[in-house]
Amino acid sequence: MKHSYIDEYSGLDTFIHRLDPRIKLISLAVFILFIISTKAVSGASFVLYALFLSILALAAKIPAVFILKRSLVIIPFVLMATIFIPFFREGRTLYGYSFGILRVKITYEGLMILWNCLIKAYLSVVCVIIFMASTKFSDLLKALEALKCPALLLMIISFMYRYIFVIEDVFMKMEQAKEARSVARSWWLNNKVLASILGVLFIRTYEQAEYVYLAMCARGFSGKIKTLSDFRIKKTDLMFLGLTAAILAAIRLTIK
Amino acid sequence: MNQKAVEIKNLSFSYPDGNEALKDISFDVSAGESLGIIGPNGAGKSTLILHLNGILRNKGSVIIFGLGMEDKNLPEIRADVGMVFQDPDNQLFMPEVFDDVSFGPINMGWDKKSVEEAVHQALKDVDMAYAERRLSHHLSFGEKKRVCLATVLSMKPRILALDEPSSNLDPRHKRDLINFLKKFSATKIIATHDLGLVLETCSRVILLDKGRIVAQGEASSILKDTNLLEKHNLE
Repeated sequence: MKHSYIDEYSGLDTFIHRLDPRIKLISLAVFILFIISTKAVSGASFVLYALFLSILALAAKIPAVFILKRSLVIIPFVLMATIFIPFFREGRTLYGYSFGILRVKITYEGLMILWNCLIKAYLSVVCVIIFMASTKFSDLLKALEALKCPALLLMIISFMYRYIFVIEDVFMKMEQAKEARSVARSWWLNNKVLASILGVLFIRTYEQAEYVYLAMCARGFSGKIKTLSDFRIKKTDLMFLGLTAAILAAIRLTIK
Repeated sequence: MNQKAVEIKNLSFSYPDGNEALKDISFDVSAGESLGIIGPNGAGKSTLILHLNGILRNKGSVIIFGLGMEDKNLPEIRADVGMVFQDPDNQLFMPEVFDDVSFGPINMGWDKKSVEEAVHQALKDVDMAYAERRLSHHLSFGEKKRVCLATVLSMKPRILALDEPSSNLDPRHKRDLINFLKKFSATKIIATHDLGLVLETCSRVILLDKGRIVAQGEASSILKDTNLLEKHNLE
């Protein structure tokens, strides 16, 4: 049995962790809206956003290494979508080269789009990481429920969160059982066994889902999961939301 | 005469793959009685338990406190029969322990205060009060088993139907479970092959093998019959 986390560091107890998850969720949305509506040329704004985020991360005692590592995940996706734009976008040519009949050029406008996507995606992901690392996943679900997110969607996320580690454990145990009985190693055989493990895993998840549903029915499930939450908005919550919005607005207004 | 908690008549059940799990089962359980259902692996114990609150339905009749197994009676029957499944990962489906234990009471429409009280008491009864805010997947197997029991205790059921409640419990918590079951005054139906548990907690025993009742009677007399037990792979 492994103790895996999606929400590492959410168990810490800091000012940021104690904030009402609903307020944090709204602040997150506000922050991201500010980031994506900033003009690409306004480099100083991005620096200030990053500074503000660092202060929040510091206050929540989330290690910088953790944030940097996690945030790198987004870069390949953004690059995949945008890396060719500087070559094809029409505009002022910054650099051009000819290979016989092939002409390659990089334009200023294209580069700006690439930078724009990259910095906004990156900062937004950092926001989300700081939010996730300072909020318990189950609290996040309850906050979403309180903010009227569709119940079906929440149920799917909740079950995913509950069972992803169970599936991981089952897979790990089957892998270990396979290792324990593998004497002659052949690459081909290994792949064949992996295929059947995945098949068995699929059937087991299917059966488990059936049993879980039965267990829910046995305790009176009638189509909607309800939970009790005792979120209470405190003065500090409102102050946090107000201060965040004020700082972001100040950045927007002072930097042209 | 005692009120009947459970009346089962001519119950048969086959799984869709043709495997006949139960054949012509009939028995009664009086209110307040504790019944042990013993039998080797694959005898049909779990299948029988699943019939007690209408999760499985088939030929024959199952009556719980005078209510027949019909759609309109299901909510009441399910509130009456607290069922604990064998695999805790099936029983505990919410991320947090508190949400799982409060799932039944909330569905029964209790107000917030009664739900919270019921959850605290149920977790205290199984010695898991410290885990209220823990995540289910971070509990050990034995802890999960105990929380499973709490998830139905919080509903204050009149019948407790347990499937292998003692499997994978360490000796101390098995002892605690036995003591708790002895104290618990509701009707109990316990399916297990843990004969020690049955001897201590059940007054009457039904021995099931290959889907049929092969013997029933006083727990002490059946559990002493070593020939019988040996014949059905229990000794």
